[in-house]
Amino acid sequence: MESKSAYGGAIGVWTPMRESWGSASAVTSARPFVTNNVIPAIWSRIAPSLPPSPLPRRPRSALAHCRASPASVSPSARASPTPPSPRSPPHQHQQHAIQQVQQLQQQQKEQLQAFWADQMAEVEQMTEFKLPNLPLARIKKIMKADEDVKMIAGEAPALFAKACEMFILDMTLRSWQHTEEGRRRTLQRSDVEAVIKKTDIFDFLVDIITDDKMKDDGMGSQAASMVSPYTSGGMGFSFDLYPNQHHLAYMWPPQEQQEQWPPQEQQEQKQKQDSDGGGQDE
Amino acid sequence: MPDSDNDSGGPSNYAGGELSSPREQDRFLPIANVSRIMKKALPANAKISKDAKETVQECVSEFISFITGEASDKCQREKRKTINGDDLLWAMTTLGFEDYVDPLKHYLHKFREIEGERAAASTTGAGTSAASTTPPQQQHTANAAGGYAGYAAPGAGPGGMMMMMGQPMYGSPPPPPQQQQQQHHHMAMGGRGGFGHHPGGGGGGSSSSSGHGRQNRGA
Repeated sequence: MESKSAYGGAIGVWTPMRESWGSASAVTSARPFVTNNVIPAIWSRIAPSLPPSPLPRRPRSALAHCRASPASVSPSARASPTPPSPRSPPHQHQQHAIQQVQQLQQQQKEQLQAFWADQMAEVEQMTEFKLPNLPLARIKKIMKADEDVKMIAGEAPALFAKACEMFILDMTLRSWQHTEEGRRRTLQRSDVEAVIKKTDIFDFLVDIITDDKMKDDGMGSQAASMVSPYTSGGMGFSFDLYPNQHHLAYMWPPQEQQEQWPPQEQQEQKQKQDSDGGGQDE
Repeated sequence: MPDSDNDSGGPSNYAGGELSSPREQDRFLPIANVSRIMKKALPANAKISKDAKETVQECVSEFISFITGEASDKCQREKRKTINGDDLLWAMTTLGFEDYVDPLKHYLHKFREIEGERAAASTTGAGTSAASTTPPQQQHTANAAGGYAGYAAPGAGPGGMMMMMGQPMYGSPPPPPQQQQQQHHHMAMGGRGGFGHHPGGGGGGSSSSSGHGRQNRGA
C-alpha cells in the first residue's frame, strides 16, 4: 500500500518520494543502512534497463523483480526431466521381481512333482508290504467317530495309513516352501495356516484354523504351565486386560518371537528340547 | 480288549511327552509319529515348531474324517455297510486328492496281493493263521515279534477279535477268499497296532529294545 501511494506521489513531485523512503526506513527500523543500500541498488538496476526518464524506470524495476521469480522457477522446471531417468531402473526392478516370483513358483511346482514321482516309485519298488509308522487302531477309531460309519474293511485303515503319510508329507513340503519364502529355517504354525488358506484341496481345514482359537485356550495354559517366562508374562498381561480371552496369551508370544531375534533363539532352544524329547521317546 | 489295551498304552506313552487327556489322544494320531513323518519332507537343518506339529496333527484327523464321511455317504447310497479301500480312493478323487490316488492304488494292490498270499498260507481257522503270522514277524525283527506277543497276552483278546471278525462275515456277503483276507488282516492289523503303542509305553528295557528296532527299520 505504501509503495503504491509512493508511485502515486511520484506522479506529482520529488518531495513526496523522499517522504516515502523515510517511511520505508522507519518500518525497517534500521534507517541509515537500509536507506543508503536501497537507493544505490535501485539505481544500479535502473541503469541497464532504461536511463531516459526516471518515472518509467521505477515501475520497470518492479516488473524486473516479478520476472526474476519466474526465472528462479525455471530451474526447478528444468529439474523435472531428471526424475524420468531414475524411473526406468524401478521399472526394470519390477520386471526382475516378477521374473523371480515366477521362477520361485516354477521351482515349488517342480518340487511337488518330484515328491509325487518319489511316492509312486516308492510304492512300486515295495518288495514287502510295509505299513507307515501310524497306529491302525487309532485310525480306525477316528473313522468310527462318524456315527454313520457301520463297518470298515480291514484294508481301509491300512490304506489310510499310507494316505495320511502322503498328506503329512504334502502339507509339510508346501509349508516349508512358505517358510523359505520368509528366509526362515523354522517351520511355524503360520506357515501351515498360510498353505491351508491358499491350497484348494485343503479348503476343508479352514474351520480347524478358526476353531484353533478356542483350542488355543488350553494350549496357552499348557504353554504357560510348561516353560517360557515370556509366555507367562504375556498371559499375566492378557489376564489383566482381557480376563475372558486367554487365547491372547498364546497368540502374542509367537508373533513377537517372529519379530524379535532373542525370542527366536529361545524358541529354537525349545525345539531342540522337543527334538531331544522325541529322541528319548524313540 | 484291544481298545482297552491301546488306551492303557497311550496314557503312559504320552504322560512323559506332553500333557493331554485320554480323549484328546484318541482324537489325533500320535504327535511323535506325525513329527517323524514331517521331518522326512524337510532338509536336515530345518526345525519345526511345536505348534506347527500340533496343527498338522489336527489336520490329519480332519483329513481322515473328511474322506471317511464321503466314502460312508457313497456306501449308504449303494446300500452297502462296509467301507473298503476302493470307496476311500473314490472319495479322495471326488474331494480333489487326485495326486494321492495313483500311488495308493498300487499300494492297495500290493496289500491285497500280500493278504492273498497270507490267506493261502493259512490252512485252518484263526489259531492257525495266528501261528503262521508269527514266523514272518520274527524273521523281520525280534521287536515286532515282542510287540505281537505283548498284544496277544490278554486272554480275552483273541475271543474279542473272533467276535469282531464274525460280524463282518455275517454282515457282508463277499466271497470266502475276501472273508479270509479280512480275518487275516484283522489279526495283522491288531498286532501292528499293539506294536505301535507298545514301544513308547513300555518300561526301560523294552523301550530301549523298541528304540533299537525302530532305528533298524529307519535304516
